Amino acid sequence: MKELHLIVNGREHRLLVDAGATLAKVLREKLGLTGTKIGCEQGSCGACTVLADERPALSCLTPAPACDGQSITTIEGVAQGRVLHPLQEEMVRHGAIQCGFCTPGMVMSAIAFLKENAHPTKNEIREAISGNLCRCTGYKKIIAAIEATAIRLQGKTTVMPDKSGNSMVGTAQPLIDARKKVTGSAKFADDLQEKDSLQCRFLRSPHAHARIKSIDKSTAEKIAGVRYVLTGEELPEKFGVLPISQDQTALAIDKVIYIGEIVAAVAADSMEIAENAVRAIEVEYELLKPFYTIADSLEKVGKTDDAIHPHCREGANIHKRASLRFGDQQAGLQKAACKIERSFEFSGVTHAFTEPHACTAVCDAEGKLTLTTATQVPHYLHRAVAKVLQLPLEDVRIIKPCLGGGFGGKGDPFAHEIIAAHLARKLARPIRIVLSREEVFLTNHGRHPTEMKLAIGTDSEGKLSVLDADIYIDGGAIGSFGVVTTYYNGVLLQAPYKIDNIGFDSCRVYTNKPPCGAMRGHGAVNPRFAVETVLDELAEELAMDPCDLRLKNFLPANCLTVGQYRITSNGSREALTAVRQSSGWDHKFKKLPFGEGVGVACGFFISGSALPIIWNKYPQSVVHMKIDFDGRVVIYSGASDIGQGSDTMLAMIVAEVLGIPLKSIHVHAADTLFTPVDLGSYSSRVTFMAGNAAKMAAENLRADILAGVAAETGEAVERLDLQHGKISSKDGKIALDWLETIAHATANRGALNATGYYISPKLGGDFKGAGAGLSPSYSFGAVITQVRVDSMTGQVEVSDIWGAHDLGKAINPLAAEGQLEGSWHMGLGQALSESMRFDNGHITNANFINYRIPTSLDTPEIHTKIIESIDPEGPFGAKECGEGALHPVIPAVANAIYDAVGVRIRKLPISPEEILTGTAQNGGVK
Amino acid sequence: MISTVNYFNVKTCEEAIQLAHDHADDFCWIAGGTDVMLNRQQENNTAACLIDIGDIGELRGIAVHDNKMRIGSLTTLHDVGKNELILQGFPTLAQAAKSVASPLVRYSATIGGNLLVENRCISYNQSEFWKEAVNHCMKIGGEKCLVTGSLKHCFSQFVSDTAPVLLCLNAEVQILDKNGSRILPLQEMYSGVGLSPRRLDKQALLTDIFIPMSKPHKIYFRKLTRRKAVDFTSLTCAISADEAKNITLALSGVHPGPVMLQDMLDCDAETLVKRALKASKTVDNDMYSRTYRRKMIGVFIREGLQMLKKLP
Repeated sequence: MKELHLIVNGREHRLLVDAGATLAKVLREKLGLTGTKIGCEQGSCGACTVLADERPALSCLTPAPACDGQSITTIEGVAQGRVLHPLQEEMVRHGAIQCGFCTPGMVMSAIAFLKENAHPTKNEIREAISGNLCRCTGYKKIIAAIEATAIRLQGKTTVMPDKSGNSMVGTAQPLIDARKKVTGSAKFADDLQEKDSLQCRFLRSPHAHARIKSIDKSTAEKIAGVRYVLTGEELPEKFGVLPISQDQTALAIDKVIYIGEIVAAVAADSMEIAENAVRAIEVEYELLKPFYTIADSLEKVGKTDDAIHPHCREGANIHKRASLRFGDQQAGLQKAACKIERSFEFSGVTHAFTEPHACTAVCDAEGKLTLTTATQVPHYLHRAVAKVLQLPLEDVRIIKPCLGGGFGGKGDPFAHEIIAAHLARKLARPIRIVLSREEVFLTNHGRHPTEMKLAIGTDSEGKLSVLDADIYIDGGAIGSFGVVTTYYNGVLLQAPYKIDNIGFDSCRVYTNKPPCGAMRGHGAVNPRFAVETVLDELAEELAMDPCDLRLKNFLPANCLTVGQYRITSNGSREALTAVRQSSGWDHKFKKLPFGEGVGVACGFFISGSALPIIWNKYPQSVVHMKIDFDGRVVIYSGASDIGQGSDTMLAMIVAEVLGIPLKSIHVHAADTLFTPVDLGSYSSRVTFMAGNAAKMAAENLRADILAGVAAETGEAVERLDLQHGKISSKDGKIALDWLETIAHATANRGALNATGYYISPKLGGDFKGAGAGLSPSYSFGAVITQVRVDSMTGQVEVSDIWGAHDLGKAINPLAAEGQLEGSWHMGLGQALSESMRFDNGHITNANFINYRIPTSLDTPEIHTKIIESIDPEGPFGAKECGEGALHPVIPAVANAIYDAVGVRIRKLPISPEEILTGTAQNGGVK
Repeated sequence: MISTVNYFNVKTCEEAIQLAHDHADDFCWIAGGTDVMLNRQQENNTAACLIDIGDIGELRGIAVHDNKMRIGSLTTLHDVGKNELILQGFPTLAQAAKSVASPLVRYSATIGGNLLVENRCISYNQSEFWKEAVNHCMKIGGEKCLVTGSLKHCFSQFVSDTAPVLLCLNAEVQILDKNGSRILPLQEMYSGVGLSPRRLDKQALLTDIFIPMSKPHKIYFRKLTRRKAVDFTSLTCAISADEAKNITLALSGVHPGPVMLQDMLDCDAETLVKRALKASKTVDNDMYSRTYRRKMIGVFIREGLQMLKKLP
């Protein structure tokens, strides 16, 4: 131990700390200053940045004893009371904050930078924050906020678009929790620090496929401070997010099926004790033949070998096959005037949200369980916990606190959550779990590694006539969302282009690797890449401009696809036309010097799955509202704000309907004790479904308020008007402000409640597989990128992204732009630098140093265009914007590379080596 | 998880050397900490005692005396990157310093630490969980190199970005141990051996870096990484040419130590590339393949020579 004297945010502390403690741990655990975040433990993400004697320091790499006598400023010390620092204000105003997990570090970095450089250029700002990884925003709005702050600190003023006006929907609003996030007071799952809690650490399998012969936990159990050592047999009940894929236990039982699977869990008085105890557990394994690749798993399992699961199909490790055919593709391809068939290969990628998984489970004296956890799906987790722990549903409460990014990666019930819940009940002590960054990679559930063959044919005019795809996806060791992924890979080929002869076979295999699942753009990203790059080739073959080829083939609005998707609003054409113009495509395509190029691609995505995962007649989203004497409207919604701003969206919709300001609205969300069910933040469903439910609830409340006022005043309802928080009668005799309105409305009956819900209309055909990809609405988009390729090194630099996305109606344009920019940024990562790399089942880059998500310096200029097609069924016309924008950016980069150096890309991530091979085959540098 | 038993903050070199002597069996120096703490997080560094030299003021600072620039080893890369004397005299050194990791790392990381940065390898820079599962490579007590299967050699790569430039600038380093101070050419500090890449006594301190002001007048620098920040180098190349057209080539990222070659500016580029490739024991232990990195050695050298020839 070491005595430490620290002045933190002006307050003196004398502490006794472990000589090996990091500053980050001391700030968080000893001083409770949880605004400082730990994202990577290796100084590679910047979330832990604080100022030590006014210089930025990565507190996760700073030994606490090194700070003896220093003055430390954390995010909590930046604002003066409730007055924000100008940078904090600009971050809020510019929508630079989404999940908020990187925000504290970003603020600290930028404040230090602006002190050194009061007149920064945009590139200097990019450089300054290049050690602060943000996974949500694409950095654009952060850079803008820092620029605006610099201008403000120079004494000038900056102008932001006027937010006032009569309507709320369609105005740019900072997220309602942005101030909490920018001051470090927002509580994320690992910030709760329940008193008297135990820490839990896991023993994970070092083998990809092995039988567990014995587990000796006796030594571990004897270590002082160890409260319990849990092994698999205690939780035999299987779970999984899909009812048809209940193939996972909380801890391994009898055998392990991937490196990183949890074999034992230790609850102890401290993290260190738990860790030591984990290392004292002895497990004897008998190795089984591992299956690492799609090819391995398609082979029949040998007589003496074990399949990964007993339910694997066809004598191999096949999990699921899906197929749909409309028309005869073989005949179609034969008839096609122009056709191209290509093979593609895609690495697995992962969400890489900056907040590691974390949860706290508490069991009260009555045996009721509360699990506060970083989840996108409180409802499914609620069911899974009750199922595995064999508890009545009413004994389980799931709370989602602030969540530091999900992108699908927090969209399953997870083993560690169930273990925490179980241990909390068993030990009657709060249990805290936070995964290390490596454990997050081992937990994965990212995008499936994929191999596919795709053939597309056209007639002589360039009309797409036929498409055939053969797709294999590597699911890793468990099912997760995989059955859906298997379908999505094929069915989501039937738009945005009209093709009537279309078919696919897709197959998901199990492998002995960390599980894959749903990731932003679920199931459709890789096949979209294949389609859009083949279209580029077809355009060349047909001597057509790739934009023209696409324009010629778009589905119209209000039509049915061949697989009976009901397309309503459709802004494909507007989106492509917009980026074609803004990028200067017509002056650039095939006209830039060798090494530079532009590429185009389009995409579409579902706006919420029309079918619920669990078949029942419960609506997909329910919203409750309450208004009482104080005039405050409380929205209760199960929807999970994961940084995308869904709480703000709900508040804005309600504010619009009731004509009251946002500050009169409180959103209580994602707490299964109080909030009615919303199925979760996945499949881009929240704005459409929870938004519609909120709109209905608000309209019901409005009607009830008017009825109450009518009854109280004797005026007919139809003669009353509720606007801007005031009620007036047409003759002007009645004029009530908001509190008076509520006093009238609550007279003789008290607080008002209202309910709204959303149920998707019945859609689709009645053939097998018809339900996959059905959505009440679809989003459409287009991207053009410009690249520079270094013909000597093969390195690609994207200089610009022009993106346009038809999201129906931007309820909150600020948040919507943020979603689009974040999607394009994330797609760029998959295109150029991200890949889950494996060696014999071991991930070799399970950290933020070698899993390379783009930094601010790697993110180009992003030119964002929102297309509003006003969807007939979306709330105020809105549909999704969180995922669909991602799809086109990756093929747009690949197509731009072809325009630049004449090399076709059929493998992701794009490798400089292959570009060099390609240019060499083309006869070298032109 | 390592438990540090002792952490000492020292204010003078004498105090540091004495403490090192007292804890000789199990200690490690720490200054900026960005490399040491990363390796402790990965349990490559498990020393029970840390001696923090970060507060030794005399080891900071940049000045010119007797036609030599002296850079205190504890000068941060941030300060090196923006120092006027360096920007004027050796802008490439500032460029190299600014190419390291990220601005946040460079606020703490020191130039001495960058010269002494631990070698890296895909089978070494992993968690203890990972390394235990594959039976630890020889650099962390195992029998063999897991990348090549070699029982003899460790191929962990030297990843300093400032070293190639300093080598090109004929820099010297001052080393202090209990026998006193000595100055040696920077290249002599490196062994080229993966298991023990530095020819330094464990209790010695790197105190100063000296660069002769009779500088070579032209210098080329390029670094290969996928991202423009955060990544460790996959190849860093510096080439300097003096007025007599003697050139020095220095590489990092492709060998257990720096690769350093001398030649003439009008040399045959292909011969120099061959010599560099022969001197580089590059293996597949990086995010980029061995083949690609070796190809890039050629690309950088050719480009560097061309650039140097063009410069006035």
